[in-house]
Amino acid sequence: MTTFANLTPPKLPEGSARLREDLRAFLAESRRALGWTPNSNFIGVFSAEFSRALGARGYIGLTWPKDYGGQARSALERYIVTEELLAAGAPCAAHWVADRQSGPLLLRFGTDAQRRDILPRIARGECYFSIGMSEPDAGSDLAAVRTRAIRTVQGWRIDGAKVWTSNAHVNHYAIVLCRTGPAGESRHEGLSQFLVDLKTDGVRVNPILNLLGDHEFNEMVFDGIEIPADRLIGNEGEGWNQVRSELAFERSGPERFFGTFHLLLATVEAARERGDGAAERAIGRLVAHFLSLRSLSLAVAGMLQDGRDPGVAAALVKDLGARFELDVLEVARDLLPGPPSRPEPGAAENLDDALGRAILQVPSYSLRGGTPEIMRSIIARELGLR
Amino acid sequence: MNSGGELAAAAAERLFADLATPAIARAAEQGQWPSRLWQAVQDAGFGNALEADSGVSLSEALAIMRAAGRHAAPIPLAETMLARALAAGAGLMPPDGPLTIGVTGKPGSLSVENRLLSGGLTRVPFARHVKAVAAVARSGDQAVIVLVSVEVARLVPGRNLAGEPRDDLGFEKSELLAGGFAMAPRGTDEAWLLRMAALLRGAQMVGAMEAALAMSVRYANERSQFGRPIGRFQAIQHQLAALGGEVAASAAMIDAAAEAVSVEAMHAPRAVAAAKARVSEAAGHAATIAHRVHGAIGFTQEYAVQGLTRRLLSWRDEFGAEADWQRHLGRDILRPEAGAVWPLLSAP
Repeated sequence: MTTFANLTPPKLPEGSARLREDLRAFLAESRRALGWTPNSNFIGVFSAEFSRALGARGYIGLTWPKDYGGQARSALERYIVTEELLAAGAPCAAHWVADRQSGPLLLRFGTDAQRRDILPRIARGECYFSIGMSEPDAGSDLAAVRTRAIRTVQGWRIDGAKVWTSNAHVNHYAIVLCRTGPAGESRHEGLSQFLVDLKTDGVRVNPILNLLGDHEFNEMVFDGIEIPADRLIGNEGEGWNQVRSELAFERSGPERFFGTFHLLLATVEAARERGDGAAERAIGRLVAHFLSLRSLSLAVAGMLQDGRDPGVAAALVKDLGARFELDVLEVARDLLPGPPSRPEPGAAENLDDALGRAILQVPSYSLRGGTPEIMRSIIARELGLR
Repeated sequence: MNSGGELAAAAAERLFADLATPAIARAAEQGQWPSRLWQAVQDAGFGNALEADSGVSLSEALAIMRAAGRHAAPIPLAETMLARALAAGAGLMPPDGPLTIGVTGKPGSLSVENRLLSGGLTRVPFARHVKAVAAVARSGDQAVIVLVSVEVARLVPGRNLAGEPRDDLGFEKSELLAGGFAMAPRGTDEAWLLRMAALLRGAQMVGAMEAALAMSVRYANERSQFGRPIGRFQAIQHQLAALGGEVAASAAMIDAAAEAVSVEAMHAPRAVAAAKARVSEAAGHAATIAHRVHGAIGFTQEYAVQGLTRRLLSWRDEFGAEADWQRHLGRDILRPEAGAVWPLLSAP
């Protein structure tokens, strides 16, 4: 119960303002040099060039130990970096998942050899990851995964398929949740996670076009692929706990309410021109909600910093964040010129198509990382309801 | 909340749990002053919490208000804290006992000439029960702090939805209390008083919401329908989860605003405006969900949840409803000279 009442945003550490300024300067310079334009979907625009430049400045793997290529800085500093990247709409798709959850998962559960092999490359912005959780028959019910890993003489053989795998067609690795033993009564036993090189023979990646007509996610098929024994992550059979920890990282960041941020900025400009009381009130309400989400999200970063489990708090932010993103849409529909048109598939986000893009994109925001219904069930359990 | 805040909160929680019972609230609504409760609050020094030399931080004072809100304490504690802070800051010595504040938000409602007060205050909390009203008035253009007895005012009694006294006061060349006049310190004006009142009421509302949540969860686990506790139904679980989200967002906003005010951050006024806007909006959802979960029993006088929900439905409109603070915030952000939005939102 205390989780709900005491999500106090922590004080930002010394040097935060400097970090923010440095990052803003880097982003402005990078925008000029690489010619990117702001986009709202953190997983939408893939730029290895940008990710390498970001990594070279030490902004990826910020909280990891220096031995593994990190900067040993705090989760709160990482929060600042994350929100600045989102506010700038930087092209982060290449490194985002690796930095947010794959790296931290390996840091927590991986072998030293895995960490030494992978983490420095992620931190340099050179090594990109996909999430291998959902399957055709295992969406919200993740324990229903059917992809199987069987021990062989040399290692493991994996058969099965994963879906909704963002950027598997351009990424290097996926962390794949597999069934390795009987499910048990809880259905949470007998699951394990594997580090799969997407260049492995027998991995097929088939595009799935999304609502906008863009190719962002995929189906990944594992046709009896053979992987070495040392690609098991953590312990065999511990996959459920590990994947819950990975999901907590996945849900914990400010991207859970930044999905319509650039639309909000455009709407504020429109309201400045409109200048009536209704517009003032609508913008004021959105700003109050945005600030409350930011406070909660900072509190989550504080929990990560203190080594506490942010799972429930992250679920709260995600549920509230998904509602906020929809609220922004409604105000934007009122204040921006309309009606909206479908953006050209593959085109870069721009001011004219921002509303149409957001309307078609928003259904995915509430789903990825877990549906609002799953979030609410997590919250209800914490409240003592079951 | 810092550890000191937790200490004050624990002491306040014990005091209010013992003395601010639903029976006391019911008697208060019938017009009875809760003297034992007030005496205990005064002995604990809670009324002085916001004076500069009280040794109590703002976050501790807000923790005390949150505990008062959890138990729907029918006393002018936020008002007394602010009246004493206002007086002490201006070097005035108010009388002992419960006090209240006259919150106008902007200059124009109260003026002083030759130490005589004229003007009107509406919906003054607990006015009929207090020794004095503290307010910001104007003497010419100059902001001044005044202390005035309720006895010299024309009092028109009123009540909020929870039955708490909210009286209108009219002054016509009314005498101030002896020593009840001073220049306002720098930065203390009508807008400051409104912001501080909104922050304290906001903390009280967070307390009432967390208590309504706890009561609703308890009820959902006890009440059986269709052969099982209603808390096993996903529809109920998700309603209560939504209420949990409102409580969490509200509490975080009050904490963030308190921090901004404590360090006198540039963005403190915006943080308070956003906090009361968010908390007042949450209060309506909270009351709706608490009543939905409780069903018909929650609609009765005898069941305690109404003591919380009626206060939430009243307090959300006091010291600025969400609509007022949303407009205020919107105007602030939309000023042409406000510049780029992200630097405003990411302060500090």
